[in-house]
Parts: sequence; C-alpha cells; structure tokens
Amino acid sequence: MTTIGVPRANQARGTRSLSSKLPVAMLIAAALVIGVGTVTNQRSATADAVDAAIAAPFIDVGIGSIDEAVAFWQRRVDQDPSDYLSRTRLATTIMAKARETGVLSLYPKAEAVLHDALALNPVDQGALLALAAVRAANHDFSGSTALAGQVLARDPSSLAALVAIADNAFELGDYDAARTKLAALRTQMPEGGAADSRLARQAAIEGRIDDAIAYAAAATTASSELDLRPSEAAFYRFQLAHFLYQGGRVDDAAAALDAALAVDPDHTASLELRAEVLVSQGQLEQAVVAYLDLVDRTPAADLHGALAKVYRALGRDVEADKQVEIGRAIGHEALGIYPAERRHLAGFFADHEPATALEAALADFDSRHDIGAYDTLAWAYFRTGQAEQAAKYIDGALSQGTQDARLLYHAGMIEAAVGHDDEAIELLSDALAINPSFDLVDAPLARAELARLWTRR
Amino acid sequence: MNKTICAICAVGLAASLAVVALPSGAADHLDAPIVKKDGRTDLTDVYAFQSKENPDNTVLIMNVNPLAGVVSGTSFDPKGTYEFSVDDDADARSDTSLSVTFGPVAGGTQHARVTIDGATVGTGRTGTTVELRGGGQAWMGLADDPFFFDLQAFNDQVKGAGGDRTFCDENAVDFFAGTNVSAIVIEVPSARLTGGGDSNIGVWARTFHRKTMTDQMGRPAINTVFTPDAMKDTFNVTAPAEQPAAFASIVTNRLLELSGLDGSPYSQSEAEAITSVLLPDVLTVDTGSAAGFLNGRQPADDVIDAELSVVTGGFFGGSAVLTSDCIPGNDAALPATFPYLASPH
Repeated sequence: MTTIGVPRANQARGTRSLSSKLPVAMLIAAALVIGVGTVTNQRSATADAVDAAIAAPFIDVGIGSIDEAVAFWQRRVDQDPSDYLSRTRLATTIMAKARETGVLSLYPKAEAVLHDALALNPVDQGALLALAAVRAANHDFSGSTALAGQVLARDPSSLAALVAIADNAFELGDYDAARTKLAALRTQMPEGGAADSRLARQAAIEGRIDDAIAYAAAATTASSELDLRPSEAAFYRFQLAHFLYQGGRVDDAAAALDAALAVDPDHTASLELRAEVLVSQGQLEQAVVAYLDLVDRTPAADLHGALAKVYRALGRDVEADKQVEIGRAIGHEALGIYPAERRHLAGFFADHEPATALEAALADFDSRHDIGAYDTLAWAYFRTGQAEQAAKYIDGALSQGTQDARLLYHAGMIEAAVGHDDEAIELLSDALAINPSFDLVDAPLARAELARLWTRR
Repeated sequence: MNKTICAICAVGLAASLAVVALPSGAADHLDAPIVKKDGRTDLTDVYAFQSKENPDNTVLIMNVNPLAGVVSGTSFDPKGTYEFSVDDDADARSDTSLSVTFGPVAGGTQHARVTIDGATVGTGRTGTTVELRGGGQAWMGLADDPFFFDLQAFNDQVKGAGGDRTFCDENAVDFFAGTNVSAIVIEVPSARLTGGGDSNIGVWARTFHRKTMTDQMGRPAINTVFTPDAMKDTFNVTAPAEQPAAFASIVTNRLLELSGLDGSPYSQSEAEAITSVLLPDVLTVDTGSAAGFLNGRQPADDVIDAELSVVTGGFFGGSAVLTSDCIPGNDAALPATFPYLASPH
C-alpha cells in the first residue's frame, strides 16, 4: 500500500499484520459470507463502568435555558456599548446554542458579536478564545490554533487555550501534538471529564476502542458530579454511545442514548445517532420515524440520505427517491456556505453525485488532514472511479490503526479495486466483525465483495 | 471585590472552547463542554457583622453560584458541605465551625441541616427561615447578589486587560447589577462564636464536594488580586494559618507591582506591613461593634473603594487619585432585617 503525507511513526502504528491475522480473518469472513450476520454485543471489562455511567444521575442544578442566557447577555450588550465582557459572553452563549442545536448559521452571529468585543479590546483573552472556537467551528483549524496560541503566549496557565490547541491538533491530523497537549491537560485537570473525554477520542483513533469506551464512561460518571446544563450532561452520554456503537456494542449504545435523551430530549447528536442505531438494530419503521423527526428539526443532506436508505430497504422507492432529491437540493445549497458540513455532504454525495462528493472531500482535505479527511477523500476518489488515487489516500485513514466499521469497509473496497485481495479480505472481514449491520447498503455490499474475493482465490 | 470576578473570567474562557469533534462520521459540529468550576461550591463573597436586629448576635453570610441561573445553577450541592470557620483567639485556626448540608432538589427546594461543631442545631428547607437551637436563625436560598463593582474598569485599568475603560469614566457600570447568588445566612448569639474571650473573632468560609475542599475565602479579593492564576487553586486549599509563610512574598511583590504602576510604589517595609494585615485571609470582626468593613463586612459595604487605595497606594495612572470605582452601592435596596439580602431578580 502506498502512503501520502503520513508520518512514518504513524505508519508503523497503523501497520496491519496480515500474516498473523489472516487465518482468523478468513474464518470470520467465511462465517459472515454464509450469513452469520447478527448484531454483536461484546461485553468487556469496561461493562461495569459503562453500566455505572449509563445509570449516573443527572442533577438539574437550576441553570436557565440557553435562550434565557442569550437574552440576559443581550440586555447587557444593549445597555452598555463599552461592555466587551458581556459581548464575549453573549457570543459564547450563542455558540453554545449552535452546538446544542446544530444550527450553523448561529456561528456568524457569534462571530459578529466577537468582532464588536475585540473592537473594544483587541487583546481580550476571552474574546480571542471564543473567536478561536468560531474559527474551529468553521473548520479553520490553523487559524483557531494561532489565536489560541496568542492567548497561551500571554497566559501559559490557560487550560482553555491548551484544550483548543489539542482539539485542533486532532482535526489537523497532528496526532503527536495532540497526544502531548492531552497529556499536559490530564496532568493539570485530572478530574471532571474534560481530559477523559478527549482521551477517549484519542484512544478510538488509535484503535483502542475498549479504552475509548472506558474513558468515555469515566468522563460521563465524572460529569454527573458537576453543575451542567442538560445539553452538556447529554453530550457525555452521547459520546459514550458513540464509542460503544463504534465498538459494535449496539444495544449498550442504545441504552446510553436513552440516558442522553432522558437528560435532554432535544439533544440533536443523540437523536441522530439513535436513528442510526435503530437501523443497525433492524428497527427500520422506528428509524423512519426518527429520521423524519430529525429532518424536520434540522434539514441536512446526509439525514435525508440516511432516510432514503431506510425507505429503500423497506421497498418504498418513491419515498426514497424523494428524500434523495431533497438531500441533493439542500446539499448543493450548503456547499460552499458551511465548511463544517463538507464531510457530511461528501458522504451524502458519494452515494448520489460522486463528482460533487470529490469536490467537497477535496475542500475538506484542504482544511484538515485527520484520518476522516483521508477517508472521505479516498472514498470520493473511489466513487469517481479513481481507485489508484483512492488507494493512495486510504492509507492515511488507516495510519493510526482506527477500528471503525465504515472506515474499514471503505478501505477494503478500495484495496479490492486495486487488486490487493488479501488486504481487502482482512479489512472487509474486520468491518463486518465490528458491526455486521454497520450500514443498510454497505454491509451487504461488504459481504458480497468478500464472497467475490473468496471465489476468485 | 468578590470572587465572582474569577468565575466570570474563567467561565468566559472555558465556555468558548472545547471543540471535541468526534471521528469520521460523527456530528463534528458538536463540542464537548470543558469542565468549569462547579458554581455550587464556588464562593463569591463572605460577610460577617453584628446583627442589625439584635446586637448580641452575629450574622455570617456566604454566597455561591456566581450569576446564578445564567452561568451557574440556583441550587446547593447535595454532596457538598458549606462551612464557616470561626477563630476566637487570633491564631487563624478554627475554634468553632458552623456547617450547612443539603439534600437533593425536590419541588424546587432542598432540605437543609445546620450544625455547630458537628451538632445539629436546625433543619428546614431552602427559602424559609430556620430557627436554631440555642438561639439564632438560618436562611438558605436564591438572593440578589449584593456585590457591586465596575469589573471591566478594574480589568482594563488595574489588570491591564487591554480595554480602555477606567474607573469613574462616563461608562461606569455595576457589572453585578441584576444578578443573583445562592446565599447561606446564619445568625447566632455572638457568645457562641467568641469562645468566652473578647468580642473579636476571625471568620472564613470553606466549601467541600464530598470530602474534598473546593474553595475558601475570608476577606474580599485577596486571592483574586494578589496570587497569580497558576497558584489560585493552591491558595484556596491552604489553611489560613499557613498562608503567611506560603504566600507573603507573593502578596508583597504584587503590592509593590500595583502600587508602582504610577511610578511611586510602596517601600518594601510598607508593602510587608500591609501584607501582614492581608494574610492570613481571615475576615476579622469585633462582634461588639456595629461598624462595617474593615470591621468584618456587611452586604452594603463598598469594599472596592476601601481596598482600591490600599492595593494601588492611592495614586494611579498619571497620579490621579484612585480611591473609588464610582459604583456607590448595590442595585437593589438591602434590607436591615434578616436575612439582610434582597430578593432575587
């Protein structure tokens, strides 16, 4: 396999040992090809921690709603034209609302308020850090890091700046820098979940999914001691669900999502993942209801695309076609407006307009070089029939050893297309072993490709 | 000056950040919250003064939950302990402790238990007055934040935050107007605090989450103004009796720095003398006197004006006299009766 832009140390960490794993992979593949494709629910040593995290109580400490907070700070801003502190707080509260709701159009509003604050005080650390967050939300990760670096230079004790730089390093694919910053964060902030939440992400990227789940569970349990808004408390449970699902523990993921939605019934990310989990559990009618609710809340191309897949699986092709058309219309409108949506759009268009997917994937890759950017671009190349190009980039996605069913499926299909049958068999087998029903369309395609690869050996 | 100043700055930084995008395929526009300080045990102010209703009693107040309901919650930590430490022999060590613990929120209120030196003296619910065995009363609940201060002018003029606000300019404003806190108010016979000695006591408040101390405060602003950010947490868990040895040189240097901003700093001996008053961080009060700050602290006291001239040496910025932030009082009228705090906004 060839490699583009991946540090050699990372290549070594991500190197796959075919000689030792192939026999097992063959057995798994054989089992999967003949249809032993039920959802797995592997329990591990983290089971107790997961159970405890899911059962962790949420204490409503009486913080008002985000809309009330916005109104509070807006009044302050309106009353005092010189008050940059309140302007910064207003902006961060608007950003919090954007995170809660997924309404990306709120970020420009927050940025405008921050520019007002910085006009009053160009070096206000709170405003600079908030602007760094806006930059990150708009996927200008280098710009965000530069701003956070300014703050850290003035105040080396700023944990917020340290966190921003670490998070951006993940996005930029500078994983060694991210590890270093996270280690520093863990030392300075060992409790409360902020460090563990990020260590979970690091572990998942490195393919240590059990560690990721353990960290996410610890973060969730720790967060239950804090005075959080419901949306903040729901996030930790959502994150735990995400890693459980990535690890193939679908029913546990569903339980964690139930916990998240019990805390905040409107938590958008949890609602999205819940719909995906329902699909994975084969509860397609419920998934339709979930996706219809989602597209009503936050119309997005990828959500319409997911709904279309479910309709298609149910034989409701007319409705599926309609959802695809809606998704296309929304997707084209969003292209070029919301950088944060590029990856989602690339995923949607890969199924429906590969050339558009490639355009979005290239733009995403221009802003960051994390494993997701490599994966998205490789898949877009594959879908446009450029398998050799795809093979060059998929190694970047595999460089950290990430164990994610969809990623491994992409890699397996690409390797098969360039004639690397052994690698393809292993990758596709691994994808299906993690979650035999990781996607309504792609999981059956993975099985079919595996069968085809075996028959030509 | 209260510790809400720290809370505002810290929360401002923290809440703006923490982008935790999840791996490929996840909703990467969603961010993880970075952990902020738990408002429920984050002390904003401590007050101690002779009761206005009964001169034989002393009133102790501690406030938590800065900007309650907006930035912080409005309840107390059911796994927390809120403690007043009272020193009756001037050794900065606690001789009497008055603690309050709370149950979970139920129906919008919490059960509260008040103890003195470990013995329960009263129970009740938040928002109501609790009669205490042995005399006195307690009240816990949401109230107007009685602190008043032009925070941004302080940041710009004294801390060099970068803006151009100055105290007493045309934009002078009480940043804490219209804000609330969660308050614990205990009034007891002064004799229960003085240990049979004279009427002078020292008071500081501590908060705990489970068994871990999370915050500590005596006089207003000591930690806020005089210790560097990296050492504030350490200061918060250093016993008052140990503070002079651990922090005297830091406070002295800060006094020299701040007083020297106008080119006429304190002398070393002057700064050291003031340091010996500021540390340990204990609110000293003569329970036999109705006087306010620097005798204890009453909710209406303008502690900023009292402290500014001490912190800066009285002259600042082109030799202008700096003795006031031009915020004369609280935005809400403060009652002269128990619990001495205004209703929440």
